[in-house]
Amino acid sequence: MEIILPPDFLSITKNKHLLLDTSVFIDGFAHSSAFAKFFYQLRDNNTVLVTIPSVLNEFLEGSTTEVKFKEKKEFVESIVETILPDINLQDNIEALIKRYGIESKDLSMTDLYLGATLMKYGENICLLTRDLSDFPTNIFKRITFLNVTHTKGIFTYGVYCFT
Amino acid sequence: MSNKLPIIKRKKKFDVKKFMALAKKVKKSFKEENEYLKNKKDGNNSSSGFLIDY
Repeated sequence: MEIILPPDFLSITKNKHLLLDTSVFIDGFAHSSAFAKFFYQLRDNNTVLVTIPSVLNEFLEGSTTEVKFKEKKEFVESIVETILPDINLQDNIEALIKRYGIESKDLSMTDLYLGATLMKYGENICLLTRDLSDFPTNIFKRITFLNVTHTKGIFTYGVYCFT
Repeated sequence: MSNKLPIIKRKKKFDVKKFMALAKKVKKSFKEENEYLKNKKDGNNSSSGFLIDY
């Protein structure tokens, strides 16, 4: 499997914070060699990898023992440089619910927190996610994408920001 | 107007060795969790098993 970046991917994400969705961590361990190379490239590019508590919690859910819980948490912490606090986001969440309208019925709390975090920090941060339908381009700006090829198909990740 | 991102102390280079070792462990844990979920789902939707609701 391989991660295929458009030629301008690294220049677009340079010096930015890249907010990672749960799907990145799932694919990260499932395709660890390719993602190790990708994360190394990003760190070298001065892209700051971050996530939020809701994503971490989603990843930790279902841990069967305390040891496995700790391993999962360490895995996330080995990738990101910080976990941004998800406080003072309520106004942004309410604004997003209004903008999504009826479509907000399908959103998870994590999606709302991710969107509200993008709103909070504006052009300084972008989101990397495989859940493309949850971040429509009438609300968020898709600034680039990447493809992850594997034996049974291709996953496309979008990079979104809020402007 | 957007807020400023918190200033963080940058980490050193990405630790590939540590990441790969943890990925292996986490993959095993998720496999177990998925098996649990699959069994739970199969049990709930059983049409010919023992879970017959009279």
